[in-house]
Amino acid sequence: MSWIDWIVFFGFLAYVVWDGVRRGIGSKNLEAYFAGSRAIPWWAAGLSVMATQASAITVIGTTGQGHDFGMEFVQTYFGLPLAMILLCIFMVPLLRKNPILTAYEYLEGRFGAATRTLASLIFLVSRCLAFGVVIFAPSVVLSAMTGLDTLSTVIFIGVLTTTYTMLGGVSAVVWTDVKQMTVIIFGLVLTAGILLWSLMGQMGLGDAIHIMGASGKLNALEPEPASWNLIPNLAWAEDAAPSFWEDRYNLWSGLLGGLFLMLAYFGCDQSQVQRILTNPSANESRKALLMSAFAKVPMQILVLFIGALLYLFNVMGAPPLFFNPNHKALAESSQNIEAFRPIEEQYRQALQQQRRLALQLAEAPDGPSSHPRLLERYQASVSQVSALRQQARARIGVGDQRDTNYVFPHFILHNLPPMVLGLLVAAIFAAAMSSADSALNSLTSSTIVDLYKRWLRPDASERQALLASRITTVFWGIAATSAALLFAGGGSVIELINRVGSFFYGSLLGVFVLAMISKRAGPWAGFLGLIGGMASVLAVHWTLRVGFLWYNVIGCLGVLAVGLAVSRFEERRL
Amino acid sequence: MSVQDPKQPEKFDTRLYWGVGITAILWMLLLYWFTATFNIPLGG
Repeated sequence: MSWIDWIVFFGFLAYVVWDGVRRGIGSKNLEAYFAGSRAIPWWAAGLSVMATQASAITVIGTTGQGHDFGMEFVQTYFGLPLAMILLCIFMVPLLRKNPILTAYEYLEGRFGAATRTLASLIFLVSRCLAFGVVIFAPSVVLSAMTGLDTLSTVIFIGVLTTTYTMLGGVSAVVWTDVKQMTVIIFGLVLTAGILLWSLMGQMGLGDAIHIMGASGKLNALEPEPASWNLIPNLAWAEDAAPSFWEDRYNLWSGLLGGLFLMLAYFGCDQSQVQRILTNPSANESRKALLMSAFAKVPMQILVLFIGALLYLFNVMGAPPLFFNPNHKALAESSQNIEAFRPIEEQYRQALQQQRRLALQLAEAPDGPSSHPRLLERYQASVSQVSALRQQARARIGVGDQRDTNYVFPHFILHNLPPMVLGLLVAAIFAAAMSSADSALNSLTSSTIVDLYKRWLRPDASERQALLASRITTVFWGIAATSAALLFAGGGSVIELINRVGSFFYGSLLGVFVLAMISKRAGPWAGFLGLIGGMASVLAVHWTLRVGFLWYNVIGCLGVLAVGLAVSRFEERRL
Repeated sequence: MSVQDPKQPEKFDTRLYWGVGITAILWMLLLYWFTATFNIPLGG
């Protein structure tokens, strides 16, 4: 990065942090620290909801997914609009009926202190792990950019975010999120514009779409799953043909699995629920949620389309054999370099062939489908390029580590002009911090409200509780930054974070649904139901081959089955 | 504390729900058309 990029980068970070702290530093009690004195306008809370979900992983990992696997991932978000409507109708009235500070406070009134505490602990563990992933992802960019090691990068993000969250509370979080979300959207639109501008010198927009389609990257909606066999395979039946439940991204897994994931995430995860507790009224909370319902699907389409455009940009250019600079360094080490010469030569020739065929397809009239032989040759070249990259990774012993998350960083580092590069890197950091600050403040609110004030110091004054909150923020900042280093493995980080959530989210959703649908369910039903839900997910994980999106459905249904069964005995006791 | 009074719940303009639902369906129809028209799976 040039000096002007560094000025843009640090200038943006300094402004965001200063303004966030300025707005929130006057907090005098927990109501102000964790709920912004219930005075945050709906549009700011709505942008904060979006910024919290749009982590750096959205920018780095999802564009990489679009590059490697096409737009299929967008289907995960198909359940989001309906989830938001259901939350507005059923969940918001529950959460805004009383002036609570965490989602789990509601559970105590319904199922007792044990269920509330268990739900809070589940949240704390899962969110801390997910928080680790959220701050690890952008360290990929800074490491690739400056040569700094991952540890220093993670610590930089962790310390900065912890500082302004600790000083300013939820007001600092929301108002920094507003600016961070604005920069993220601006950065994404700018990237799409630059990519289109670069490609338009070589072909028209229609041709570009045809080639992306011929490369299988425009697979945005798949109504037909890989299989309609509804009987799941056993985990150890490795040779069995995949069942319906193993196909990760299709219309049905997106609508149903995605619906449960979004219901659980936006309705039961304190990092999101806390946003809708900051508004002056229930209707303002509803509007904040509906902002995501309108904007999230087109935003994901944009992000994945950028990934597909990146793929086309690489087809027309000269992409490296390795996007991950660590893999490149491994390949260039003295004992490997000779073995790579033939692969590099084959790769160079395959790229030339791919580019030549892509240009022929672009010039062919009536689209690629009208030229089956040319299309077949082009797709064979696409597969060959992919196979050579896989072969190269296998040669250096990282065959199972795709470099999905390095595609976007590679593009911005090597193709963007000064200032724009600084802005894009700032946008990635903004994305990381906007998710990390929400996680941090919500971890603290649940620790203080559900554990400290509930069990340890019920008679603590507001001043003591506020001091404890600031200390707890620092504690979680250190814990989550340490957790980030545990995730410094390879693979696609976006899936990892969803998996972490999916193990617990469905059960949390289930206990809230149980509270709504069963008046008979009491403390034992809530507590045992919650344990039963998590046990169901673990049992399925160990015995059956089921895609992680379905874990949310299984967890929720597990809670309802156990909770409703237990509630029958509870009534007899009463 | 400026929390709404539960005894007098505000009315919410439910046309927003219809707007969200119809917009979501239109996005899915657009993506269905886009995929069916332009996408050719590798080897397909």
